[in-house]
Amino acid sequence: MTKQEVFEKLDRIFQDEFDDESIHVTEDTTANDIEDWDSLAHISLIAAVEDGFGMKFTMGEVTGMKNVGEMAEIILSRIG
Amino acid sequence: MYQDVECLLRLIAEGNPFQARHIEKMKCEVLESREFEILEFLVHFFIDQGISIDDQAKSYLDLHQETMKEQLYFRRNHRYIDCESAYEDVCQALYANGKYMSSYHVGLAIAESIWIEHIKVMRWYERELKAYCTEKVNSYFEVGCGIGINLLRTIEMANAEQYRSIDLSDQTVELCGNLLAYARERGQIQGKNYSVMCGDFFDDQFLTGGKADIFTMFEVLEHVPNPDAMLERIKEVTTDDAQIFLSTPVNAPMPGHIYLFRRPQEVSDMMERHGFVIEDMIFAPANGLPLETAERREYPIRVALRMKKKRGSFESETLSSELAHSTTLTSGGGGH
Repeated sequence: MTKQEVFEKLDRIFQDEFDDESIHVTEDTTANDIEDWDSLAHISLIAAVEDGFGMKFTMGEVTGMKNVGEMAEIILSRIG
Repeated sequence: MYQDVECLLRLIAEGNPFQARHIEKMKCEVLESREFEILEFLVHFFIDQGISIDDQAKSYLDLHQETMKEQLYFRRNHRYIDCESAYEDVCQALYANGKYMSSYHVGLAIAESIWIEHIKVMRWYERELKAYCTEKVNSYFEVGCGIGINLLRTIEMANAEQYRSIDLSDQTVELCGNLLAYARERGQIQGKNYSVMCGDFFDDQFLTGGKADIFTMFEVLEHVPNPDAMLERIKEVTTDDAQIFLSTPVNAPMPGHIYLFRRPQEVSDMMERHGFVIEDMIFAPANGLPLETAERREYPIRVALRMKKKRGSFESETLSSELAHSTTLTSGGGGH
């Protein structure tokens, strides 16, 4: 899977999780850019991403990732 | 005003970016002077106990981190981590673990002061107390005193001859006693007759002061594997006309949570099955979300009820008889 494909899939997951089809994430997107992205939504999002890509994050990654770019890097490193 | 509260909130915000947004929202949109006063009282009490504001913030952030871990497990597995743990193991790991409980109670007390769902329930409780519990009564009884904020609130607002509270953890009871003594030194509960005891809700020694006219059990049912016996026991320790207040969360993974209610309706159904008449009930979804959203996404929802005992309930008597043979359970020590 290419990075672009990862981001396209992340777009769909984010849109579903936040009930907002206008969301398009980039490398630099952070929780500050999406109004409803609080800690509860973050965990729900993480679980949805895990389901979507068939991989799991460590707890350190869950709480430590700074932006969607870091999320995508972790995904790519897991799914090859 | 509230300089130490501001300091605590700033430290929490600096420690976690999600908390930074949450706290900003709470300060601007939710917290009122009453909540700031309670939080300031807590911060100063903890300082009096030798816990610095930095350590208070750390305890909160540690609890928040643990809660996120539990939430992730819940999202992945659709059950609580401790759902299948032996109750005794959970007690040993949490309520009998002094070091853990010290930090846990500080973190939980702060969480209950800045999480909107808890604030909503406590505002409701204060309104209900004012509306229904102003006449002089003999006895107030609480199960699961936690750090004692709810007990303090009740002692200040209700009108009972005696106030009794129990909890499973020695350390919790000591902390609660210290908090009440701290309040008393400041003239908040002068002349009130209260006691806080460590023990099992099923121990009859707690009935020696008479049955309760006002009974509260907040955030306890989720800490026990089988809430049914607890509900039957409530009927034994309360008068026929008692005002019974209870709250418990739905889909709320946190340390020590064992029993999982998946829908608010499950809570009210359980109460009615045990012969309680629900006189008022509120739902407080996490982060102030709409109820429909919280239910659809399986986010935490606090359910709080004011109830009375149904008179002459055959079904209830049948349940009592059946439960008389069930395993004795103890109260959830971690709840407030």
